[in-house]
Amino acid sequence: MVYQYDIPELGQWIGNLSAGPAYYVFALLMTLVVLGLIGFIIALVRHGPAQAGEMTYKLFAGTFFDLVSLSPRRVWSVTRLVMLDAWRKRFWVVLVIYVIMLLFAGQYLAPNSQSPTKNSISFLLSFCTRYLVLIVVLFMSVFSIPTDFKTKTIFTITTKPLRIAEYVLGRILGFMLLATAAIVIMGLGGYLFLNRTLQHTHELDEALQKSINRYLVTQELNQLYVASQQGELKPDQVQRQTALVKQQSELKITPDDIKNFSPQQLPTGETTIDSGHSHRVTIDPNAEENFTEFEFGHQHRIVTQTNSDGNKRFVIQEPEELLRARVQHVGTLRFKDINGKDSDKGVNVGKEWRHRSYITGNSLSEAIWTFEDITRDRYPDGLFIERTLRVFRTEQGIIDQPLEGEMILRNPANKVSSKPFPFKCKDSTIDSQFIPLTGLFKRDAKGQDEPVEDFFATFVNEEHQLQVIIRCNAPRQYFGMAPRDLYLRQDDVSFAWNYIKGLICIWLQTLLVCSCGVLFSTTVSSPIALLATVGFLIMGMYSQFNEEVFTATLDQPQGTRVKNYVGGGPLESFYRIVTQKGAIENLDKEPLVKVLKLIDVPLLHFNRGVNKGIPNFDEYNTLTIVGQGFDIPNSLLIVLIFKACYFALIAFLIGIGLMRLREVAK
Amino acid sequence: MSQANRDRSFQRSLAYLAGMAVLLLPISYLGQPAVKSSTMRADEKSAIGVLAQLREQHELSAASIGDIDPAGATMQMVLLGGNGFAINKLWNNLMEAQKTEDWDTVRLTAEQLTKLQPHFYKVWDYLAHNQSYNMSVEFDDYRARYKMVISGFNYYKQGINVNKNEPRLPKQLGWYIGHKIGRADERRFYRKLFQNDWMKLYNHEEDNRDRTYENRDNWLVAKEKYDYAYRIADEQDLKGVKLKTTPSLFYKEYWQSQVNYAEALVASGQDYLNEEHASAEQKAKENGITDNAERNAYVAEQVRKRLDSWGEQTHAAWMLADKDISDFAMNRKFPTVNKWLVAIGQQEQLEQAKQQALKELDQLVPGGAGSIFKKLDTAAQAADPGVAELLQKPYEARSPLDNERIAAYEDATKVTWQMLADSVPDEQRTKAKQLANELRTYDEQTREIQLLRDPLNYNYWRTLIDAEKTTANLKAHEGLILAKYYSSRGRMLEAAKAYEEAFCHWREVLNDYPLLRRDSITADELYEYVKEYKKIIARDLPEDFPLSDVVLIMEQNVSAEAAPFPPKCGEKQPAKEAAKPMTENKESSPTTAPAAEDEAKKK
Repeated sequence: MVYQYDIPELGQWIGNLSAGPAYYVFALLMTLVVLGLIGFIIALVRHGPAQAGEMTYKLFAGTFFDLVSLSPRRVWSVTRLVMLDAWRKRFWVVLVIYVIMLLFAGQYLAPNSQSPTKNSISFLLSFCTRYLVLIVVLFMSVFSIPTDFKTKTIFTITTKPLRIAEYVLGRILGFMLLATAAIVIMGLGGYLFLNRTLQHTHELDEALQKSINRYLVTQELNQLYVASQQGELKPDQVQRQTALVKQQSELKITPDDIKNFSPQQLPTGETTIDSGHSHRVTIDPNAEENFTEFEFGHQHRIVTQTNSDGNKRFVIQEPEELLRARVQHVGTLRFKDINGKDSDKGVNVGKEWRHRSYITGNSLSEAIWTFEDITRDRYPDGLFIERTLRVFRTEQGIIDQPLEGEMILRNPANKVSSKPFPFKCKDSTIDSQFIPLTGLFKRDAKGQDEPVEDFFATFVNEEHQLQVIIRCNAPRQYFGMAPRDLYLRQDDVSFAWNYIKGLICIWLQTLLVCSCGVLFSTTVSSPIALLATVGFLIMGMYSQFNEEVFTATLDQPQGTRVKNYVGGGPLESFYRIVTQKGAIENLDKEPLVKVLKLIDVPLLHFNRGVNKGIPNFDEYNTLTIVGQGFDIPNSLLIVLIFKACYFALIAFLIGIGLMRLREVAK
Repeated sequence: MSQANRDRSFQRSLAYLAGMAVLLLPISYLGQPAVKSSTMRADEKSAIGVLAQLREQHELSAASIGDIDPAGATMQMVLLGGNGFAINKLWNNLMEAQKTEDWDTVRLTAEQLTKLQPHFYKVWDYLAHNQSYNMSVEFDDYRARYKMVISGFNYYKQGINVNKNEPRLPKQLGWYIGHKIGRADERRFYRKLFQNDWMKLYNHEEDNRDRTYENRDNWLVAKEKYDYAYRIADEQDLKGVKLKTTPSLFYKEYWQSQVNYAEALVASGQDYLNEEHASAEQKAKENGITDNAERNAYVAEQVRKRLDSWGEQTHAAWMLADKDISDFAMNRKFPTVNKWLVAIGQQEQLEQAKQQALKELDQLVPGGAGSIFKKLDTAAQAADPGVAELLQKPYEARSPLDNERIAAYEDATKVTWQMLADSVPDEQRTKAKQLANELRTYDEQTREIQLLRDPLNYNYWRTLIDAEKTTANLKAHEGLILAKYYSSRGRMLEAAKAYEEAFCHWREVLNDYPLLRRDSITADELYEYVKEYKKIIARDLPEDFPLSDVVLIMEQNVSAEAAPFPPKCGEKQPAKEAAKPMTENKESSPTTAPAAEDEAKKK
């Protein structure tokens, strides 16, 4: 699964009035005003205007006073109490469960996985750490304050010089410190597990080893043959030739093979199967090092060693790129259709998932990425382009041959294009290509190539933009791509730091659950608080879905009906389910459906309103990014931290208000 | 809470506890493990553990169904009653992951599902199919596709381990091994990868360590799986557990797989020769044969030898197919609607017995069976005088009213066995009735056998095997393979000659087995070769071209029944007018009004 949310640029996000910090500050103020108003109206109905005004004033003034008088020492004492209480209630069991899960992890991780890192991270962090911590914090937070009420501990607490804000904050901090400890311990355990289980090596398989020997012996015999053609062989050469005769016969090397030896025909084969997979390899026996193919999310370096007897040995090293955090410089993607017209989208080849668009082979269709900020300082040696394209064939073509395509660099201003870089499309696999700054050619409209003197002056415009174009050369076949499928790779960041960023996102989710649990538990009993928090969680997880259902049902502009969710609002959908009518069946003529549609409108608006007030939980699921070996952009992390803190603050403030309204706290 | 309330609450708690204790006793008694002492006989029942005994008796315990998967069992226990919810959520996750092309998550989720639903046949079947057929095609590299295909097979393997009494799993595994590897567009590559067990994905050693390299052919491995499935099914049948699929279709796969194997050998003949050619050239180099003529002779000899060995192998494969289909036809009995147990191969015997009984009955009827028909015919024609004329009218020219009159005439002249028996004099009527009953039974049985045969296309396969095992057919295939071999190397004269010989052999086969000419695939394939031949000779086909009927069928859309049969090569007898209808295909008469009418008409 890919991370499906937009990753914002920090500067743009800060300046964005409809989604940036200013929006959240405004939303916070509005929330407080609306809640205050609601409280005032309720009080007005129950107690009359004078008392309502006084109560509202007291509530806000008291809360404000609580906040400005917060004492760290008193907060800490509550925090400590919460932690001790949780420990007494065997909070540590969660760590034991985690260890047990680690022990049985092998049972749940599929062997021969295409991307073992993603699987392991998904299991360790998403399944084990996240769910364990969230469940424990959820239960602790919703049961804690109601238990204080039930056991009358709250009366003891309120007799102490402790403010409501300190009590609520202490609770949240206590739970969060415990959760932090759990996340740190689990994260550390998970990191060790990852390093231990993913490390492996291979050997060259027997057939490949034989081909390499054959290559080396043939090469040496060829050199001796060439030497013999140029003159008489020296005694040591004759001796060597004699020594090679036995090997020549064993390896069935014919005189023609020796004469026609071509150094370019390198031995190709497979490694042995280890950790449930093997790699394809092409070995250049004369090179100091070789690499296996990049498969299963990694590759191996193969080092050539020469033994004391002069024989070469090829040692496969530990995996590379397995635990990586690639930093992407991403661009914006646009398309040209088969007639060469500019377009937002490519061809839809009929896949349900519309993440990728496709370009048609052997036509004017192309995918154009525009990259910003391409400067000499940023790319002093050249561009390291990585692409992951999908292939869609409308006919078999040559089954055992990959489709061919080409990549072109273009100056967005004057449209000067490079000579195409041909490539064979590796479907769904990261394909890397380094573009040096020198030795390139540009191609004019007549198809003539000219050498490029200055890369940046030729292909990059004054606004430091560069376009990278992908074309499919195979007729009647398609290449598929999404914006982040082609990027300029920059220096990696440490995987450990990226892993920590993933853990921070889990921590932020925990903060949301904890604040929400504490908020509800300040005013209702534990089971109701539990239900409310779980409901909040579910709403948060399906936040995007809710928004899309609203857009698809009510907010779809006419003529652009790209309906991801068909079937109408909640009541119409329910009607379709019970009457077993299909989602796309037109029911507009049924009177009951007309009525249901009318009722659906306010329901959908209500749902959307609630949805707006709930954080999108799914947005915090950045572990997919870590698993796929990419860096979680700092801008994304900062935005997520801001949003989580914002929601926690709101929950905290409302929590104080609600707590103050309870009889015990007055 | 008042004291009275507290007391009532305490009393209620006590009552609940007492109730629980009372319920625990029978549960504990019923739920105890069945303990058997060493002194007890094997068939002696334990005195305790009623539920355990029942589970064992009906083979419902996990241990009797198959191997126990500790991880799966733990997951199910941990979920308590939440299995349904978890399973539902996992299926949703799987669908979503598949939609978003997150293949690893699909596989991980599938693994978890198999642990939660280990004894649900459809789960294994769906996941295997999904991976082998739906997911594999999402990859562009055929090797990645192959990996996914084999991963699908491995679900069946796992499923078999935990469901040892379920014959459908090994049967389906066999079917997939056969058809996915042997029928996919990539079969040329898949079959090789499978036979070489590329990357040990399928792991033949683990599957069956005695399997030789030759027997790693996908169709032969499939046969092994069918055989295993049949053994389970037969064992279960003895225990009274019925097969949960159509038996005739289930049991036909064994011989069908052998037929497919033989067909695959025929289709691979060309590849074998090309490989042998390359290998012979290499050997010639290694052996220092540098002279061109000498080398060509050496290569030709090696290719000829390979062709001969291919012929032997193919012939042996068809002979085995013949044995397999005969075993199936004669030894495997299937229940019919009328509760008879019939073998598909009994049809011909029943037909003979029927002819014999009909002959006897005909002798008993005064004036023969034909006289009864004549009487009815006279009466019917008297009732509708114009009907005789109407019967001469071509079908296309008849109006709906005509058809109604003809139907009425046919009803009126229908002769049943019972009518024949009733017309026999009293002294011999008992015997006649007995014969009539026998004839009715024969009719019903042959009809039901035909109903079993039709879905299997048995008549076609039987004829094909009979034809394929003949020397003429083998020569015909050899000729075509050689012709292609020569033409791909530019040796056109030799190619033309090989084609001509092959076509002559094909003529022989088609004349002897006319059903094959009616098969569109055979006609299509032959026509492709004819087109190749035409290109090579670069002129029109000669008048006495042996496959002129195939050309007629393909080019002029003449039906196979209407096309005349050319004579065999070297023969000058006039061609038959048209294909004689296959007796196997001839429909039996309706149940209650059997073939008596036809027979009577013949008389």
